[in-house]
Parts: sequence; C-alpha cells; structure tokens
Amino acid sequence: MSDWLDLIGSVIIGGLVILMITNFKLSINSAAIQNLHSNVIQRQVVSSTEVIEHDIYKVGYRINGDVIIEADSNEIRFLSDIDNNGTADEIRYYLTGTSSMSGSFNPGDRILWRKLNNETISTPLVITELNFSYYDSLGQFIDYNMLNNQSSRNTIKSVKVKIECQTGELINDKFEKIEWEKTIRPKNI
Amino acid sequence: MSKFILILVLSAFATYGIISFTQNQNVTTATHNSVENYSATQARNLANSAIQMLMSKVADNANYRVTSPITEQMLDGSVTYMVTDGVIDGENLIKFYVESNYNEYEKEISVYAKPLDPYPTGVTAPAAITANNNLLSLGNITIDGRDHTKMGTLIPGEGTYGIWTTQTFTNSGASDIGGTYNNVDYNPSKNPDPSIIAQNQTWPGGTPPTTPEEVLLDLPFNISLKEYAKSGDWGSQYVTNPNLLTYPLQGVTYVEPTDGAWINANIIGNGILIVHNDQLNAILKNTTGAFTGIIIADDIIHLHSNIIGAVISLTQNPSGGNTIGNSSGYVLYSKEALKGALMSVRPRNYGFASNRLLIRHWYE
Repeated sequence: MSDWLDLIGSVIIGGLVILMITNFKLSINSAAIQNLHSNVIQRQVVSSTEVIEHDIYKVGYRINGDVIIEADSNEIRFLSDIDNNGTADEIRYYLTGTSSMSGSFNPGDRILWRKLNNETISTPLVITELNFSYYDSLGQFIDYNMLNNQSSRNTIKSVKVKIECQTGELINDKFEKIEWEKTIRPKNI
Repeated sequence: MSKFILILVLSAFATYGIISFTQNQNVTTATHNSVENYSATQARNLANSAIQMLMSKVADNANYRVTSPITEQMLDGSVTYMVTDGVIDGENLIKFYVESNYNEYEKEISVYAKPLDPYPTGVTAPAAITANNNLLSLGNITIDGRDHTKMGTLIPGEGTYGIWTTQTFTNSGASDIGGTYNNVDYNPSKNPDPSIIAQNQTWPGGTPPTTPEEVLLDLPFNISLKEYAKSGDWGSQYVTNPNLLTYPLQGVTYVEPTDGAWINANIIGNGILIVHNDQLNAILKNTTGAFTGIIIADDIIHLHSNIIGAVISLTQNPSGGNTIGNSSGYVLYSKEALKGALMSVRPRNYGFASNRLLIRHWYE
C-alpha cells in the first residue's frame, strides 16, 4: 500500500515540478524573444540616429549663404561640406508613406531616406515615426508655416529630432517600440 | 523515488545553469555596449577639450602655431593636434585640427577660426565732412578731402570727397573746398570741382546711422560707445556736463549734454568725439581748439576749429540752419588720423585669452 502511495505522491510532485519548469521555460522563451526583438530595434535606432547625428552636427559646414533649404516636420534639406573635401554637398532626409513598406507585418513601418546630392542610391532607414522641430537662437520653437521662407529658415539654430522604431512583428499582441529624441545644435549655423 | 528526485535536482541545476549563462551573455553584451558608448563619448570629449585648449592658447598668443603634429596623453587617452594657417574662400583663417584616441575609439575635429579685429576697421562716412542734412559753408573755413598725415601734411592722390551728403551742399562766403576724385587731387577752392562734392547720396548700407555705433565698421563685440567711454579706457570720458571734461581729450569722449547743447565747445585733443543723445538732437556749436580724429555729432553748428580726420553729422534737421562753418578753421581729411582714432576703441581684455576668436567653420 505504501509503495502505491509513494508512487502516486511522486507522480503528483514530479508532475507539479515539471509543470513549473515548463511554465518557467515558456516565460524565459517569451522574454528571450522580446529581448531579441528589442535588441534588433535598438540597433535599428542606433544606426539611424548615428547617421542623423553625424549629418546634422555638420549643417552649414563651410557654407557661405543660405544653409537650410527646406525644413518641415518630417523633411529637412541642407547644405554642408559633409565629407570635408572642400565641395558643398546637399543632404536631404525625407520620410515616405507606409505604403512603401507594404511587405512589413507592422503597418506603421516607413522608410526614412537620406539622399546625398543627386545620387540615385540613398540610405534607407526603417522607422515608424520621425519629427524634426526647429528652434531659434533663443530656443523658441519656429512654426512650420513660417519656415516656408528662407529668411525664417536662416534663423534656425537648433534642430530637435525625434525617432520611433517598432518591431516588425507582433510580440504578445503588440509591437514593441523604442523612442529616441535629441536636440542638436549645429556649430556652423 | 530517490533517483527520480536526483534527476529532478540535476535537471533544475542544468536549467539554472543555462539561464544563468544566457543572462551573463546579455550582461556582457550590455557592458560591452556601455563601454563602447563611454569610449566614443570620451574620445569626443577629449577632442573638444583639446580644441578649446588650443583656441585658448591662440587667444592668449595670436602667433601660436603647431605646424607638426604633437601627441599628448590626456585624461587616460591621447590627442594629436596641429594649429596651422589656412585659407577658405579667400579668407585667412587659423585651422585647429585634433585627433583623439580613447580605448581605440577615435574622433577628429577640424575648426577654422579667425582672430577678431581688436578695434573698428573703418567708418561709413566717405568724406572730410559727411552729413545727413543740407549743408552750407560760410566764412573762411577750409574743407579738404585730400589725404593728410595726422600732422596735416598732404599725401597726394589718396584722398576722398570734400563733402558728402544725403541732401544738398551750398558753398558760400570765402570758404574753400578741396578733395580727391579718381586719385586726382583738387586743391581747396572757392569754386570747387563738382566731382569732389557728393550730393543726394545714399548712405553706405542703405540707411543713415542714428547712433554713433552705426558709423563705425566692425565695432568689436558690438560694444556700446557710451559704456566704453564710461570705462575710461585709453583716457575715454563720458559727461553730461561738458565743463567736467579733462583736457586734452583722448580715447572716446562721449558728451550727452543735459541741456541738449554744448556751446563754445573746447574740443582740443584727439580720438573720437561724440556729441549725441537718444533724440538725435544733441548740439555741438562754435567749436574751439584743434582736434585730431573723428567727430560724430547729432547737430553741428559752426565748426571754428582746426580738425584733422573726419566729421560726421547725423541729424536730418539741424536746429540752427545748415551752416557747418562760418568763420576760420579747417577740416583736413586724414586716413592716419582716422586709424589712430579708431584704435582708441580697443576694449581691454586682461590676462589669459585676452584676444577673441571668431569660429567660422567647425567639423566634427
């Protein structure tokens, strides 16, 4: 009789332990997947921001005259000798619509293009949101409507960039996201 | 039973080991990322610090240059730097180049800067007498736009207009007007050559000045001449009561008469003499004594002095008519006297980094 009790007790205890371990393993797997995707979008953000920071810091370098040619909430076009070779370059950042990423599982994915001069091959960066804000020498926000004319664009002294990246796939029924925001004060304007 | 428990315990250990290993890997990756980020930031800080230190050295000694690369240890990293002369778009500049290294992370910064001019480079007044009103000369005054030394010796072919005004000029009495046009000198005469009298002109820059500061070109640090005169630098003075002036005048003499006029004004001295108030109606009347330098006044009535340099009148509506001179005396244009006067506007900076640099281009 006692052997049977031992056996039944062992099965119950063993079963509970196995269930706990299985549950724990599932949680670990889920966390690992989240972690992996988080790493991926972190790298996505880092690579995007490194490129943007690299360029925006150089706005107006070795340019005499108008520097920022176009300034909007999701687009900026400016001049700079970006490669320090003595020749002025034109750099343009602009965001496409969501239809450009129709193959993505995330309906919010869009492409941020970086175009250097008239080159046909540009650098695409996948993000979900981009916002440029512009400030004058007193740190006051410049309304986008005012930036239609060059004299207003010439008052820009700092640019705030906000970027949001999301995972390409649903994680636990939601898209994981990372936001990055920085105000850059180019030294040449 | 005991074997089964042993298997479970070993399995638990194995699971814990795997989890722990994975977590350690994550921590290692995170630490690596942090170190990378820290190193990149430190490299950037090093480069920026080195640039600032080099600029301070140039600010302290404008001739400081490092034409061959020098490497120095700094804050657990190293910086290699050069300070050379460079030309960009025809402008002579000083180039600062720094390459920093911290934990194998490198950062390069190139900066082009130029030393600020320590004093104004000129005036926006192109004649012996420049005015923003109708002008009339009477008496025996001589107005000569030909160039002279500050002692009054003629320098041929280097001068300018005798009279330049945004309105009109009438020469009457026995006054003589001379000047230079296209490097040709015209002796002072009662019937002057029209080319040395410029009338109905537009002020350089488009708008006539309403403050003395607007008359001077490249005023260092956009200082206020009134505040500068109050500082006493180079013998400068600021008074509201001209009786309190100390002679001879030197540096910038700024008179803002309480009653609106400085009559029988003894102007003996040199430098820049300003008679101005916010209403643009401060009067300088019936001057006496010799002056070398630049006179800027709102409303000038009757110059009777011997002046070497230039005279500028700001008002459009002189209170006592348009007569700039009705007796003896002369105004001789002199570039040397002008430069000497402009050099009296030299704000003093003391000690380390006493010179200022203007950053023209920054690449990082």
